[in-house]
Amino acid sequence: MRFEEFVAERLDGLLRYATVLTNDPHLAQDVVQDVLLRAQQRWDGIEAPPTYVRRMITNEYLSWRRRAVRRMVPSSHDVLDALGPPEADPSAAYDERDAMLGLLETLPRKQRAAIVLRYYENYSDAEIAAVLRCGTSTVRSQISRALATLRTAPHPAVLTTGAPE
Amino acid sequence: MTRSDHETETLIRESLDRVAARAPDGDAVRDALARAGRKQRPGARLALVAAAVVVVVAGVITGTQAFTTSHLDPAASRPVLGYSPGRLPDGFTEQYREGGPGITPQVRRWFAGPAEITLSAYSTADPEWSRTALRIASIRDQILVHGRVAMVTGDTGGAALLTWLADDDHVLTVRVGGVPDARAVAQRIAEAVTPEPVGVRGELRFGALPEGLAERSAAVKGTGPADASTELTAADPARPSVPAVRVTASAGSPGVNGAAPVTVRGGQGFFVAPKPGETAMVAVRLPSGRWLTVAGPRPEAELVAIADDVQLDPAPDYRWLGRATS
Repeated sequence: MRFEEFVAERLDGLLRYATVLTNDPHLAQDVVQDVLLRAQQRWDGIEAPPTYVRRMITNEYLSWRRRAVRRMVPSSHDVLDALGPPEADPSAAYDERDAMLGLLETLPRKQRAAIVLRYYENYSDAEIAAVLRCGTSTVRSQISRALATLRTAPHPAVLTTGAPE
Repeated sequence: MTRSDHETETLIRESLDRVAARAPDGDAVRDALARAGRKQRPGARLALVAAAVVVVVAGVITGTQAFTTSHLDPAASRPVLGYSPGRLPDGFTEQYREGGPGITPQVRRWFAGPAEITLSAYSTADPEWSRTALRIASIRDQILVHGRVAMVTGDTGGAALLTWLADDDHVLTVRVGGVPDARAVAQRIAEAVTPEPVGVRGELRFGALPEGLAERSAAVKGTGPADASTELTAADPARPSVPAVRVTASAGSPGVNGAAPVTVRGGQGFFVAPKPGETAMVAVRLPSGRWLTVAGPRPEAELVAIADDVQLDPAPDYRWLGRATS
């Protein structure tokens, strides 16, 4: 497959993957662009482009995020609690997916990458291990620990708008 | 209480799908790859020229349609601001509008003596504002705006800031200062905000910019048309929130005593060297008698080049300055 054909066919999917990984559309665009520019330089020498490019994007995320975190709004629960502690009042309820995204943000980046590859890309343990360059037992361990954290996401609240009854 | 594995996995998939929906389109990446490919393959130039002809023709058609169907041109130097207040307290007049391309914040300000009202719109694609829903949900002081939960911060009686999501893509804020019972005033203003667009058409547009700078914002301000001014800013794309160069046109002299003479726009201009706390500036008096300045931590030659390339708009719209609403 020529590089141009690969981009035409796969770019949108790569941008979605990178966005899910980074939770930042701008960073995702930067990462994908950097990776593809580098891949373009040596395209003829790449044996399995889809796997190679996805691995590159994942690696970029793991290194970029340390720098990017400085310009991101902190969103850990500790920070949010400091802004104003959540109350039992149902008007404070919010979408459970927002809560899940908040928990995903608290995961160590390798755990997040493993979760994204499993639940967004539907990769097997072996495929995840190939992208993250680790063993399948490590993959299972990362996902297990991540799920233990993510199971604590709150259940749906009765009210989501705070409207008085 | 924890949920089951199945429930958790379903929720994870749904949440990740929600994030994926925020992915950017691929236009910027395709452009970058095309530019890189052009450098690599001179032989491909002919095909690219052919493609460019198609793009130019399409651009002319699109541009013509845009010109004939709307005078609100969303170009970088003539931004369109997406929201308007349906009502304001008596005595307030609009004195400031600012916007720009992409996710540049949109700002409108009204004043009545020392009192001030600011309506701002931000993109949820902006990392600074991408977590607003979560933040609102965690704040104790909440009210409803347009049926959505909003948060009140900085409520001191005379000042208040109200923040809510107008939709999945836009965060709006109303800041009220110097007004008794500011919280209630802010809530009334917020409830009446509508997605009615207004334009910002000042007297300047950027021409060519040096490498490493991109258009960032355009602002018009003044208490009325008589003291109106236009300000454009450009920024390093890697740091889009920090203006690197400011270009202004106004009636007031920028103060050029002791400045070095330099040719700007074919006439006598001035270069004011940087001082502690102040960046370098190039200034020139335009044929209209108004002053054009270009300021920023850039070399003199770059500031002069920017000033030389700035385009003057002969028909700026300053009519809304000093009025309650346009």
